Amino acid sequence: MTRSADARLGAYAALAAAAFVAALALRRPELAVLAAPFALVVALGVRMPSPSLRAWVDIDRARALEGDEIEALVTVRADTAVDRVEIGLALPAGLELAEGVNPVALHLAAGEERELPLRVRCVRWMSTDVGEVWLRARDRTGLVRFEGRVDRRRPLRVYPAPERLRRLITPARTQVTTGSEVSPVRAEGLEFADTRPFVPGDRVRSVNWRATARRGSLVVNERHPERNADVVIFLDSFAEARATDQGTFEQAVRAAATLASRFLERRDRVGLVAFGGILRWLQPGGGLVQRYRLVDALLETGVEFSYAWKDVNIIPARTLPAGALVVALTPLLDERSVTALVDLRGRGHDLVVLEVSPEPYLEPPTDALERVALRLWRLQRAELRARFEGLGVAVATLDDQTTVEAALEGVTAYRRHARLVQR
Amino acid sequence: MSLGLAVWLAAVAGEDVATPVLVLGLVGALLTAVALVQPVLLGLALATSGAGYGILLAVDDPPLDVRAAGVAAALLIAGELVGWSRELATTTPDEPGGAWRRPVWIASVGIGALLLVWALLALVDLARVEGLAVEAVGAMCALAALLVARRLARGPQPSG
Repeated sequence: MTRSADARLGAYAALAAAAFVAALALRRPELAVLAAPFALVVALGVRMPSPSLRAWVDIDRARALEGDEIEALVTVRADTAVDRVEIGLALPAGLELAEGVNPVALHLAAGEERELPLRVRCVRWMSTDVGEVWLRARDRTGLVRFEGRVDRRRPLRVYPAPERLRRLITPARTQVTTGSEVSPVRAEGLEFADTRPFVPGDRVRSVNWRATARRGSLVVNERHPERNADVVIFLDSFAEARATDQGTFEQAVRAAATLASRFLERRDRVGLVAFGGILRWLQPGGGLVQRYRLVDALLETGVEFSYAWKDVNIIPARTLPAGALVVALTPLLDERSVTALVDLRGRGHDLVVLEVSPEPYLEPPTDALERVALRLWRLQRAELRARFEGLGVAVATLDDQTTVEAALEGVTAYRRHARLVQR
Repeated sequence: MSLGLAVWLAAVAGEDVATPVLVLGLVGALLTAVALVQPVLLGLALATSGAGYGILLAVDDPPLDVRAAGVAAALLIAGELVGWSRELATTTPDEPGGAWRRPVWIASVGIGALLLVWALLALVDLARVEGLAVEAVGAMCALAALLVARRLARGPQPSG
């Protein structure tokens, strides 16, 4: 523990010294006597030994969801008596105290152990370490302080809370394995597609007896099978717009986690490409393990500044399977990500762009020039959106007022009426 | 506390020295207030408050001034109150039932300073009178020194 002196220590010592000198100079014993209590308090203060304190932190879990409350138990033990010790559990940004007192000042007798139960609320998603405790002890005089830090940090992952989605985007193409998505192809399934004349090899249970009776020849039902789809979440991590504690990237990650968990619930295979200064990817897969892998990968992703020009060629081919639905979450601020998305569309991927709007994070314009600049910027962005729509790509805007569900409704409406442009 | 000390010293000082004692006391009180935000000035503040008493002693020249006990206690309490105020300004609350410890300590320090200075003044007075009591105190001190030396010579006792 590091030792530091209170301002009173110097003041009392200086006052005692000055009073002793004055007593000698003025030949007045009262001044020397007056200095005695100060000298005594200084002597008591400086003889304080370094306190022997130990602390532990127990966090009840290593994973939590946004908005969850976790229990933290700080235990402190004093081998020597400490008149006042301040104990504080350092809470990283994104965690806030929900219940308990932190920091708190305690009086500890020799050998005494105390437990401080705390309840901490996870305000936002993050990957962090919790368990750093700082201690500041002083004796009764308070002239000397001892400060120390106990590092009992353990990783804590706070996952984004997925939003409720009633309906997801229907992919243009499905894969061959069974899932929950009604495929446009015709095969064995539940959904009725059409009727056709019987051919040898058709099963008897497929015969549509009413149609057969009307036509006088055997007619069978054709059905759409239920298949799964490959979905790749394309997260643009080149640039972001942010205010103090929120930004487009946080919104994008939250939306990505929502989409990933919902697609996985639908038995689709979901992959991730975090396209930015550092490229991260995760091949499409399904199941609960993939869900944790995806969210862990999202938590590890951050906006990394880079001048390097990157295109889709650097993305491993197996990460973007043919016929996969690519859902891009981007603020459309960096030319490299825009070019990559256009390239993906050009390569025939079924692309959906969820634009995480940077507009809520802009400073409002203060003069006419700034207002004109803002209008031009909005026009440029509208032109960019029109460019994507011209390629048959649905573009929906996500902002602080729009939920993922509302954005997906826009995408679904667009895809219902727009024909995919084949290039 | 500093203000009260300044007024009290000015009230008990002679007419010719009351004004400088009051001025020094007021400056000391002002510096004590400033020391709440600039604690490095605390020494200067206490010294300025105490300087008024020094001037009083130098000019009035009383035989043995017992008011030194009050001055010492007042200055010490003022210093401790500054320390407590700064401690309260931090955001760390005391556990329930622990808030009384500091005021009790400050009161004890004040009373202790008062008693200590009175005891020392009594000793000084004994030395000044130079009667049989001084011989008795000297003998007691010698006996105490012998006991301390004997205790130190025995060294630490083996444990167990």
